[in-house]
Order: sequence, then C-alpha cells, then structure tokens
Amino acid sequence: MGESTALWTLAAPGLAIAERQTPASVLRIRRPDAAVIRALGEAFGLSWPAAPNTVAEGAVRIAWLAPGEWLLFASAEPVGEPVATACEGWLHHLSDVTAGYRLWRIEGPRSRDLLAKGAALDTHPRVFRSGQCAQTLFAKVHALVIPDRSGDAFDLLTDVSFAGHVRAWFIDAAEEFRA
Amino acid sequence: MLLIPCPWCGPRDEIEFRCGGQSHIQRPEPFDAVSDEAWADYLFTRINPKGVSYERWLHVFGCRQWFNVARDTRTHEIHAVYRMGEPKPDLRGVE
Repeated sequence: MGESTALWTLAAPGLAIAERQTPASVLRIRRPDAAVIRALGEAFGLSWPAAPNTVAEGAVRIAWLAPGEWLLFASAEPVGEPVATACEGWLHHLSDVTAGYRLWRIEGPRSRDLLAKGAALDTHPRVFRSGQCAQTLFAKVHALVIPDRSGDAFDLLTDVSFAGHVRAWFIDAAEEFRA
Repeated sequence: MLLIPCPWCGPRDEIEFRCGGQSHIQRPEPFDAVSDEAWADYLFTRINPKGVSYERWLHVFGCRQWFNVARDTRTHEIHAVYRMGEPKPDLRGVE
C-alpha cells in the first residue's frame, strides 16, 4: 500500500501522529452467503473478513463494518470490476467514499495511552490484535480503529468533517506526554 | 453506565447505543380494518414493567444494527441479548 504524504503531523515523546487522505469504498451485499464470500476472497486474493470486526489485507485492505458491509481501502474504480464479477447475481452496491474520510496513523509506545484518553475500547493486545478492527466513539467522533501488526500502532478512520476537531483533540491530548 | 453486549461487537459502553423502546410490538393488520382504538394502542401504549423489559437497541456508533435486550428495570441487569426476529428468550425464574 503506497502511503500518501501526510496532511498534518504531530510528534511527542513516544508518540507520532500523521493525518492522511485514504482511498476508501463501501461495499454492501444483502444477506451474503458463503459462496459470494468465497468468490470475493478469491477475487482479492485473501480470506474475506466475514467475521464481525475483522480485517484482511492483501493488495487491498478490507475491514468488516456491519453484516453484509465492508470498507475497502481503495477507490471504487480499481475494485469495481472484481467486486462486480464476484457478486454477480447478488444485490450489492459499491460506493466511493474517499472524499468522506481521513486516516490517522498513531504510532509509538504511548499510542495506546493516547487512545485510552479518547475511547473506552479495550485496546490491549490480549483482546485487540492485528487482524481485528472496531468501530467506536473516539473523542466523541465515530471512528474505525485498526491495530497494526507491531502492536503499538493504530489506524483510525474518521469523517473528514471532524478532521479539525480531531487534530485539536490530538494536540491537547498529547500535551501530557511532553512533560 | 451500562455495558451492553452487542451481538456482533461484544460488550461496549452505553454511549455507543441508542434505545429504541419496547420491542416485539406487532403492527395491527389489515390496516383498513383496524379500529382507531387498536391503532392508538399500537402507536402510543407501552408497558412500563418493574422487572424485565424487552427493548430494542441500536449500536449507532458501531455496527449500526438493531437488536433486542432483556433488561431489568430495577437493577439494570441485562439478562439476554438476541437478534431481531428471534423469539423472546425464556426468562422464567428471573422475571
């Protein structure tokens, strides 16, 4: 996955935050069965995340959002054809939501401490590992949280309209780590 | 704060949810033969139990799914969580 340049960054001891634009599409399928899940997995070369709150990563990262609903970290154009082929005969729709979201990369040994200030979600690696994801309220904003393989990095996806608020929240929240 | 076990996401804080009121309400049919009284009852009359209350909840800041919760109005204890369309669980002994 090619990383776009950061729109905004913040660094504090043990903490680095970068705000980026990310390509994103939402796929919805009404009551998908095992066959269409398998076809999607084959089309994308991964095990399709059919279980609640799981993530799969191949050429495209895919996160479970709701029953029959997934977020694809790709714009709709490149994934449109494989999705349409895999979902043939199924009522489904794919929409590009790239313009609607911002991706926040939070790294460093203090990343979990920072998350804990904004969300009640248990992010301990014992219960929240790579391959999982969760939607929750973070700093009063609906967010999708995806833990990284390394264990002390997280990706956060929030609505673009809250970007200013989230930025200000990060600045305030990171203040205590400077002391 | 309540800790509500979403059938999809597991236990989450109450602030992620919205309560949708009494569950298992059946819309009277056929619509053109329903008396005003029965229709008003369907729209407005809600039971207000002291004990187990069967409620609809929405995980609005999570998977955005509706589901049922059997909650004790005296203690806030959640006896059961079950998906929409599933029958009421047998809670004899706790009701």
